[in-house]
Amino acid sequence: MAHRKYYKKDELPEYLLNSIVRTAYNDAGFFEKIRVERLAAKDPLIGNILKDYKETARSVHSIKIEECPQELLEIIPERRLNSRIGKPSFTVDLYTTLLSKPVSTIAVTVLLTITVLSVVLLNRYEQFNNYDKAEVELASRQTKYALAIIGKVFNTTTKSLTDEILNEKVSKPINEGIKTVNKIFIDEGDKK
Amino acid sequence: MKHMQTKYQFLIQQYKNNIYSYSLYMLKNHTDAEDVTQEVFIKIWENLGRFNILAAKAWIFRSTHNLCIDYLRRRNLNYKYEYSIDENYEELLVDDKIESNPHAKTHIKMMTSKVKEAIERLPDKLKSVFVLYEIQGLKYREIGKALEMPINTVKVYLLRARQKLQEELKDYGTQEVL
Repeated sequence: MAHRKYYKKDELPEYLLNSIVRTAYNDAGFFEKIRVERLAAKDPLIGNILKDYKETARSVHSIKIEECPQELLEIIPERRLNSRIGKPSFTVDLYTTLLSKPVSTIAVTVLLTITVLSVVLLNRYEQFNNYDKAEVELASRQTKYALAIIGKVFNTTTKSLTDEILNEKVSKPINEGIKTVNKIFIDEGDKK
Repeated sequence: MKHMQTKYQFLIQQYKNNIYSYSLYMLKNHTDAEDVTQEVFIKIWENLGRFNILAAKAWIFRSTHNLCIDYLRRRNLNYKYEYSIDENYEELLVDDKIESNPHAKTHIKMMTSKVKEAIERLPDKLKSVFVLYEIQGLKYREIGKALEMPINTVKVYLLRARQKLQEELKDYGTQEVL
């Protein structure tokens, strides 16, 4: 039969006592709580300590916050409160609109703002990316075709320029001019 | 002016009970607690523009704590005129089942009363952390900001306060059994 170790009162390790206290006050994590509860079920000393702490914790948590006497709010001297009058500003307006309200209202306001911003931003994003793959490929093909036409036009122009225009309109007249000048020089030489 | 008043009213409605309750635990005296509460109200009004609403909680508790410490120093912990929080009758949290059982009702009332007395007897540093966490419901981070101490110190003080409170109540439990 396995020997089960029971703790004596003065032998209880500090870490274990801390765990017991946290468990009693509902401050322990899930696994810590289970560990302590299991130990408490096995060991009577731990069980008693846990029970005592739990009872105290229950009493502590049942204590209500003392209510501030109403007359205390009424007898605050008006003069002192009025001695520092704040000027209305954008910050104060923003505060009053958004934050000077119960927490639930603030939460709803923040949620709505985030929703509206998200919708606007997502729609804008979609505007830049609303083409499908087929459209992109078609655009690419059309661009290539257009560039090919432009390339062909350039090639034709170059050929016309070199073969026809330069030969016919430039080289030929220059050659003829030079021939004429040479002929004149030759004729003049023969006469002399 | 109207904006300031709105902000002020909001903060007072939100925290008036916390300020008064904390002062009462720290000073153990209704008159002083009321004085401190009023002073905190005035401080809130005078500093409305210096803190935003999200940081108000820590600021208010820090101011309340500092004023309580000032009062304790000034008074030099003279307990002669002090009396318990329970001096004035207060309603306790009792459900119908307990309501119909006078013994259980009396036990809970007495136990709660003893717990309050034991809390009052805690050393100031432990008491402030304990009251802020267990009764006022602040988080470790908020307590750290309010009392200007690291979170680990808050945790250690809270643990010590719980253990000390248990020691204080041990005698009461023994007496009741006898």
